[in-house]
Amino acid sequence: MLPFQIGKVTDTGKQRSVNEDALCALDLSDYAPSGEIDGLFAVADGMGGHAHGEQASNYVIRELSRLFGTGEYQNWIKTRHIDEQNLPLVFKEAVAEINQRVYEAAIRQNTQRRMGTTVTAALLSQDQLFISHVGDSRAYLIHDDVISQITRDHSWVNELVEQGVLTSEQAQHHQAKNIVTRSIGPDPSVQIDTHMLQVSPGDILFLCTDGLSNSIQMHEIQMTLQAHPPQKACKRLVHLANRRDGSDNASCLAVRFTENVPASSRQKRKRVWILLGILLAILGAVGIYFWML
Amino acid sequence: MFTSLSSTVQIIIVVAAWLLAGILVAAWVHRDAQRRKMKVTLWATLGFFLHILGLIAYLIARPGKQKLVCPQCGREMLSSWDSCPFCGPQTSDADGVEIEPLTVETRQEEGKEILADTVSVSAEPDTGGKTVKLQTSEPVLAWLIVKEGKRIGKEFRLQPDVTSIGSDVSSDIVIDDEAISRQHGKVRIEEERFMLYDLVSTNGTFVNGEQVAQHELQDGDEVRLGSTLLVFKKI
Repeated sequence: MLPFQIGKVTDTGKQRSVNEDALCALDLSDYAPSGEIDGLFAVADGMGGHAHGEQASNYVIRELSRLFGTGEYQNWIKTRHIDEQNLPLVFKEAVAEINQRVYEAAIRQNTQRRMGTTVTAALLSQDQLFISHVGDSRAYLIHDDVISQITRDHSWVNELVEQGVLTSEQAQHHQAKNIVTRSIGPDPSVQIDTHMLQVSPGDILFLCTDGLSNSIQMHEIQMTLQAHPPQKACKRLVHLANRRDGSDNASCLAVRFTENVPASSRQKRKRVWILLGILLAILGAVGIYFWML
Repeated sequence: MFTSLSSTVQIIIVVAAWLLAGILVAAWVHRDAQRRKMKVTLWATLGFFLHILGLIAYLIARPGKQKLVCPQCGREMLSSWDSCPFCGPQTSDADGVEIEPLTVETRQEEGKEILADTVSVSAEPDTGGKTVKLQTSEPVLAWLIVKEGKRIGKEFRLQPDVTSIGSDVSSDIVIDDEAISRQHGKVRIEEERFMLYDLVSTNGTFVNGEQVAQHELQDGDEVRLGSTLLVFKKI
């Protein structure tokens, strides 16, 4: 099992009144019911107006949390006849079914605007990360001092970039940069991108919504994540995104994988520090007393 | 050195040091107790007045394993969680759109009600920074349905352009069957015709019992890949 530190921040931004982003980062390494799952990390950027976006993104995050955070997926897959060992497929199928539920809810409500959300989610099992992705939120990985964007944006401007019509910098400033070509909810079935990564100590996984990635360059993300602990890094990046733009909700989460230190020696070290601290304080008090005499 | 100062100054220094020590201990205890959902005021006050003794008492009293409880469902949460996985993030419920949670029971489908309406959403000219979905084409009304194999009854809707089939999770239609290649085949829509292609798979692709390299799918065709049999249905 690979230990990790988590940081996560979500912000409404300067212009929006509702935060339609949702995220979760669950450390399940000490939680026996979660089965083979050691961590769940996900971001979702909702769309649809009338707070439907917020409902869609929160729903996706809640269902992923419930299924994989609580271990309920083990019961769920039995009725879907999916092999429990095939975690990437389990994850993908769960996202597919979540998509169907959101679609059906919109049909039932006869909402004029279909509600939808992006989702970029990662499941950690030992040192393997399984990613399921739909939309223009992003997953990056820093490995060996190199940052790479793992996911492909399902956006209209990205398709133009891939065709060579736009450069990625032009895409960042394009007026149509917020138009996605795939999302959870508007269609009864959706193509879900999957990725599998092996992670090692020192690696950093970073998930964010486009409110952040639209105004911050990749190298800035890398510098910030490498210079600060995950929570502080996320705060700084969201703050920077708001300063530069702020027209959209901005959310991110970071997972830094660390060296495998056995729990018992961690506890021991902690106790030694506490005792040392107390001893120093007593010595200090005694010293001040004699110095005052 | 200290004794060379006037007694007033000595008193001021001692009091200031005492206050500073008290504030430092109280601040640390306050932050720690808040995280562990302990009685913050009590412990911070003890820390302020008793300094080291208060700190020692707090360190002894605080629970070894941090126990948190979800305010919504009452279930125990790990200290590293700041949201309950059972409840998840809360919505403002502005319009009250109810979305069914995923259940562990197999969903019952009455007949096959196909929704023929379009699902296009126009992209707004000025999104003001908000993500919107691009206008999409009508969904393809064609499926491959599992008739024999691990997931009997599972319906796979075909994609507008190309639908990949294989045992690899990146395929559009993932079939968990050892006899199926990772990239086994694909269905491409060519001028309203549904063309099935075998991607030089190890065990081949069979339609209605005959092995094919490519085949135009007709409604009712039975496609065998490995030990899985799929039926092609089109509306």
